[in-house]
Amino acid sequence: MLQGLAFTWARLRHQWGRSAAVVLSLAIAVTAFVVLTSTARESRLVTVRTVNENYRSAYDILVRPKNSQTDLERSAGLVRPNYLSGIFGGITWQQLREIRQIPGTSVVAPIAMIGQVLQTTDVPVDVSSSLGGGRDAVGFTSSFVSARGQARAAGPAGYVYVTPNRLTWGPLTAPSQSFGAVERQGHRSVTTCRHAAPARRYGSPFEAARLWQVSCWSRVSGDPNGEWSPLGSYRYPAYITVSIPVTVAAVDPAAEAALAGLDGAVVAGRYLRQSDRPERLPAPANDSVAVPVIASSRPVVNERLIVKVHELPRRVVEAIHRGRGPSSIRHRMARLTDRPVRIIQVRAGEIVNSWLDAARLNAPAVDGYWVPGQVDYAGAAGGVLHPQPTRNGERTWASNLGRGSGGFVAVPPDAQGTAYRELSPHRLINSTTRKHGGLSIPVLDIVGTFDPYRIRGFSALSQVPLETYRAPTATPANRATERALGGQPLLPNMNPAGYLQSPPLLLTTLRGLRAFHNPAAFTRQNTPKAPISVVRVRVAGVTGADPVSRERIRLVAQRIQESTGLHVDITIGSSPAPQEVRLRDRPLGTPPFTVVENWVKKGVATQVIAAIDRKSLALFILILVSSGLAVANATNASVRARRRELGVLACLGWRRRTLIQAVCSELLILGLTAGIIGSLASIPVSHVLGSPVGAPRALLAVPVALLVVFISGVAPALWVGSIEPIFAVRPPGSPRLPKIPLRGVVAVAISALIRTPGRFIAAALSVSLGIASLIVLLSIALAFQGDVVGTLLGDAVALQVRTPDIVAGAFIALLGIVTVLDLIYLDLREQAPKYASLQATGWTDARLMGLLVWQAALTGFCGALVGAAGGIAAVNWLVSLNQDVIKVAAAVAVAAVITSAVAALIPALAIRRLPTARLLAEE
Amino acid sequence: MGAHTDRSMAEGTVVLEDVTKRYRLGDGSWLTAIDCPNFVAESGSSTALVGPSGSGKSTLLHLVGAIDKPDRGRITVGGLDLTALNRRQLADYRSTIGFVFQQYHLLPAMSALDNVMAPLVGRKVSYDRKQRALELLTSVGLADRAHAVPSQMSGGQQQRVAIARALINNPRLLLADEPTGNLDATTAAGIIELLRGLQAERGMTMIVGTHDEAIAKRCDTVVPIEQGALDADPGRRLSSG
Repeated sequence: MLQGLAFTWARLRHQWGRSAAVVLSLAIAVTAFVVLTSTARESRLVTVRTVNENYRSAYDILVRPKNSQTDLERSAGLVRPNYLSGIFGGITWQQLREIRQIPGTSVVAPIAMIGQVLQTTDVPVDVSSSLGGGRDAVGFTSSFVSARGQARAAGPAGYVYVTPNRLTWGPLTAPSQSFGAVERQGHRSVTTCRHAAPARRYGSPFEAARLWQVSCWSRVSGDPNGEWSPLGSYRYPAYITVSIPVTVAAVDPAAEAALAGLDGAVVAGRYLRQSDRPERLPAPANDSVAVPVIASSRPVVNERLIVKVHELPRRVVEAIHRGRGPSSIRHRMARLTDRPVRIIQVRAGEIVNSWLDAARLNAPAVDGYWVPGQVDYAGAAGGVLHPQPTRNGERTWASNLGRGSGGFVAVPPDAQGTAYRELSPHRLINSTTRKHGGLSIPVLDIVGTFDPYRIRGFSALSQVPLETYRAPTATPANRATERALGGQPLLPNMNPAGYLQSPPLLLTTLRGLRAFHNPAAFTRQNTPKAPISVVRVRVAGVTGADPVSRERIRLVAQRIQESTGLHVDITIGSSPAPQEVRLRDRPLGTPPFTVVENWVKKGVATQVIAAIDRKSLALFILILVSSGLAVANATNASVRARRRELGVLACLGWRRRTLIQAVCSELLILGLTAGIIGSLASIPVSHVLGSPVGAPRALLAVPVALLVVFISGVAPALWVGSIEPIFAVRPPGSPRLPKIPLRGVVAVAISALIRTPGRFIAAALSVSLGIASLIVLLSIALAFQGDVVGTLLGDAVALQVRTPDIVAGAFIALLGIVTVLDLIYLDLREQAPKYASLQATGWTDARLMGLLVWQAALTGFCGALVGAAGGIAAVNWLVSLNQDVIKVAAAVAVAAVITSAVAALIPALAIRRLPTARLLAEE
Repeated sequence: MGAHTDRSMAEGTVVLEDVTKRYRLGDGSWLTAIDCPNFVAESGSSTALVGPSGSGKSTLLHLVGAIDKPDRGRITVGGLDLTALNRRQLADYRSTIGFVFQQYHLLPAMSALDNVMAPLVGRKVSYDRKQRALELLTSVGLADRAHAVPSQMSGGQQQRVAIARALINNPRLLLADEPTGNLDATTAAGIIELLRGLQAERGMTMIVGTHDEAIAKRCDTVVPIEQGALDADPGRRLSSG
């Protein structure tokens, strides 16, 4: 045994150059393995940490009514961001109770969307500075501008009349006649500022006559009531009546506090109490019930009221003064050119806040509410979605409140725009036609104000829709939209049927629902039994993306689904998945917008972890296989070069086992040495690469090196086992190969390569493995991104794993090139007499070097061809093939051929040091 | 060592019966390297196979040394039928004989001493390997070159090391294929003297393949061989004078 080791050691020492080369290549391979796997492991840990940190969203499970999921959501595992705006009921009280009873839930937070209550407010727009002294009047037109200035809806128009005389309200002379303020003009009274006939039924809620608004002021006593406007005395505003859609929803206060910390977001007044319920008001308002609500302090409406003030010709002022009717004045004003003397802008937020301020003082009554339906989409996941417009007829806005309403409720002008949702009106039952008991008109009692910005924050990477508090954002998806929107996101306007919907401005308790779902108050009550729109559930004991937590959530979700039959989505581990949506509001004049909405892709965290696990595993295997192949090629060549020597030993009576032991002990010594060197080297190298490894991990190099030599030693060992004594005395037979006419360097190179077909194939295979690895690595990276692409979490994670990929890919390719160099080196060493002969026959050094370079280039070419084909096939199998992958594969293959050829110059330079004379003499 | 390959069985007479060995040539035709109806080398004798290059001397020695296998026929050495042995038994048989090659076939990485000891690797022996190797090197006149590697030695010295290596197992059969083929006449004569002396001293059976009549004359028996065919009157004893 000892003699065997001494024999092995003597052999290794004798061929120290070759031994050192094998040790060096193996040491580099194992160092790279330790460092790269450490980097990849580190990268995986960072990724998993990122996933875990962003795992928990506001809620873990989203429960929606059955069939409320769109086809796209179903097919692509998505949850649309605006799911809440389209679901008004569908979950029964009984189902909510069942969900609450399911063990394992920590928060069960229902939301019942009630609808959009239309409220009107008179916005005072000060035109004093445009009015002259004495009796004067200015005209005004208004419009509502939304979509960052791109959508424009006509608003009220009219005039402001100021007189030095006193004004009072005059009695109506007849129901069908117009009415107005009575101005005392000397000895006579004239009805000036005539309004439209109140009893008239308009053809449309947006008819110009209906939107005609007149404000009359006395310079001595203010309005006909003798009061001044909120702007102060001697200020003369135009009052512009604006209809505001106010979304109202009901929540469970305790659950909402636990889910989103809503109680902590209250900035004025108080939070809702569980006991808050509609309370009938005392007489004389006992036909009303006060519904306690809290209001958002940040209305999300991107809209401006633009008021253009026009100077009126004297004859028009005189016509007003003489008491001409509204149609006459409107007709005269219509002929005026659009040359405003002043333009005044009022933000919609200010209008809403002004309404809220007023509502806090005088609880506003609800005379109806409108329930918008869901948006229907055309298009598929990955493509652009086209929300399908719908139509809400004029009857949608019809009023039940008799002749005084003109047949229609006050409708926001934006409602003239494209409708993406069908609106279901729930009108207050006319007291004169009611069939049930006493009226119960809800009045909105604002008990507190909450700031949605103070709602508990969750990671942006795992955000799930919280429509209760936040408006869905739609950011520009292309240059044109970006230009049109000024680089800003698209936000909801005041169109009750619009695509984007504002979050609820008012929240009441679930008990408050009964005020709205009261058939004695509103028409079309068909959802009192199933008033809950969605239920958001948080599961107890969830600590991260670990399997136990995932199983807990899955179990609760399954139980909810089984016991209620409702549609259940597991939203934990989700991540916003940008989805392009194309919108067009033709009636309001907007150009086509392509915007990006953050839809929610479910299960992204699990996909990310699974994808990175797959990638890490593939990376480790590739590094190990590449290292093994490079070392196997070197050891195989080294062992096969000793054919005669081993044959001699067989002649001397060495048994097969002894021969194998001799070769294996050599490999083990080389492996052990390389492992120790790799262990020592991996510590400083890993520090340099910024992913330091400790001693225990560095020591991993030793078993890895031994494993590599074990695997790479299998082929040589098997070959040694087949050694025959005759090998000592008979040269190896050449394979039967096609005869190549040796007309040039390339032909000689081909002939040289096929002389040792095994070695050539191994080198080409090594190159092909390197190339295929690179292509597959890229494909894995693409697939990895493909798995999670389009999700914010996936994108964040993808950025974290790129560097180790590139290093590993480059390393594997490098190993392939090193194998080619080894092929050239071995050829030069073994065929030195042949090269000496060629030199003796007049071949120049450059030509001989060219011969070696051609061998390397041809090997690289064959390897590149096979590797590219294999890589592309693998990509095609793993993920779908695209042109980019083919381009990358071609680029990698070409680079490999060039690099092989250039690198071959290193061993080729040894041609110059060839001892021609000695070699020829020996030959 | 197995029963069939016992040292005692390796001793004695070498017998070839109806042995043929053919090689396929590059053009697909067959070359008969050996066609030997009968050949006997008595135990303790020295036999010279004499013939020109390519006559089949080496092939016959390879067959007797179990380096190659016959296509047909039977080869027995001391009663041991080589054609009936398995791979391992053949290896054991080879460890009991000595073989000297024309090209020496020393292991270039090893010293002369290690080369001499090489056949003992993986085998149990009752004597001190190193001591025995040194004795053999001394007997071939290379005691002072024990630690030299082959590249540091002349052809004659390398062949002496090869002879010492062939004798390390105390073989009863020594096969030598053109042992002086690469040596000058003086050195060759020295080698022949050495071989003959050792053979006589140890009582080994020796078969030498050579094309040199001078060497052949030093053997007990000369067997001419041409184109694979041995002389019909084998065992022709030539005068030692």
